[in-house]
Amino acid sequence: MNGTVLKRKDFLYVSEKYAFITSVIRDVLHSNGFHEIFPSSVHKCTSSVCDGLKFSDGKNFYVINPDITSCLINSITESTAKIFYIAEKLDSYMNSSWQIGFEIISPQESSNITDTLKTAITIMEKLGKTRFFIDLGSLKIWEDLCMGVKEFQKEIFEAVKSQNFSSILEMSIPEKTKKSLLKTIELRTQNPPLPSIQEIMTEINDERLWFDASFINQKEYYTDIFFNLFSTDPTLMLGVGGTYKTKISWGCGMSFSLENLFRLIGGDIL
Amino acid sequence: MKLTFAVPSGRLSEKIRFFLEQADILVPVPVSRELSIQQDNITFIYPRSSDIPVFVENGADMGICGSDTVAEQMPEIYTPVFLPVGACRMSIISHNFFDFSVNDMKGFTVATKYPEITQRFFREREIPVKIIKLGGSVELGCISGISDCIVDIVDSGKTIRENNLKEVLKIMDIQSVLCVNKLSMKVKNREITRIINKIKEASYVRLCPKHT
Repeated sequence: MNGTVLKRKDFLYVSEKYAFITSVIRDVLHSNGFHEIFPSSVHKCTSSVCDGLKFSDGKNFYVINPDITSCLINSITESTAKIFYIAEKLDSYMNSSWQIGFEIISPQESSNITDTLKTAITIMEKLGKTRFFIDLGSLKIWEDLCMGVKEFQKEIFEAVKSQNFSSILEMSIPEKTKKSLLKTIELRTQNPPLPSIQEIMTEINDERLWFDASFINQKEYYTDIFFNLFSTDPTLMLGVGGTYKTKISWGCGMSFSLENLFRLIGGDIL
Repeated sequence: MKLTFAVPSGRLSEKIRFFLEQADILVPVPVSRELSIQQDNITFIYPRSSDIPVFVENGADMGICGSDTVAEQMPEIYTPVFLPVGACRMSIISHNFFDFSVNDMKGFTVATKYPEITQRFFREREIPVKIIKLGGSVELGCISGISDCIVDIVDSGKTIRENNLKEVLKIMDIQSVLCVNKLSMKVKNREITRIINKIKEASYVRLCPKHT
């Protein structure tokens, strides 16, 4: 025996901790004007709502517990809303993860982002954690760089997603473009070259915010800016989010992983 | 800063260990049934190749496995370097006496260890097929008659020839790939970049021997 105590992970114990974490987050969200929604578990499988556990009743295909934001994008008809949810997400292997997510819908795209990030920072601080980072990424910076080589955009995005820089070197694109792409990939800074991101970082004014150009998020519905919130000790991805377009407005949201929040602070909860 | 590096056990382990040696990364050889060995600042772990993306996605800092495994599992990881090791291909294979093209395969039953890659391949071509997942000796799918053809890895082609099978079409090229945990790339960037550069250099030397 080396003296390590095995942490309890039974259902009741974990539920108790999840309940504590969600109650803290609920308080923050309620006091910031968000209201809770209760999304249904089963959705028709479409090209935009397909990330979840799929099944068929013989006539149609459905998804159980998919990504909530992808469902909301098509169903929200209000031009302004502040909502949050606590939901289980299933992947195609039936692995379950619990998420607490919040969304800000309004025509002011920029303030949606700053409000989302400020809310996320408040949540972390209310949970008693100040050692975390938020990395912002931008789709636009890559779209601009691909402007003259549109036919290679898909390949370039794949190379950036996998951080496979060598494949960029092998592409039949101008040397100047290659140089710009490789220079941008290495860009992790608190002084981003994009005015839109600089504006957000100035407005929030928090040293835990960074711009990481190499980070391209996987969600297809993100329109430009996306971000992830992570801790370094232990190394955990705690939340992800980004901007999107609804039918009549703009949205920004993020979701926290309850499992990783529990791993981060579970031991601190009495 | 400490790193965890997942190196595959099994078929490819010797080749990968030899390649990493050329990159100045000495991978200790596990004795008996050792599953992990600490050496300097790196803890080497030795899972099955097909489990390496799972380890890297969920906490190991980096690892090496076949690009087939990454294509099948689509994990949330970086794959910054393809290694000039373990090159082979994934193909559609059938009996010698069958004569058909991919477009004739509507309604075929296909046995494979790679259901996701297979499904993607046929879905992209709008050819509905029934897929049966097998764990190993996939050639038996054809031989026993439970499937019309198989999708499997072809290395030298000896196994398929010896079983009176033939390669109908190559689906993809395969080689070993370095996998990196997305968060580790941020948090341990300096250490990981140093290893990536060493591996890139060794890959370049291997691909262009004149460089030496």
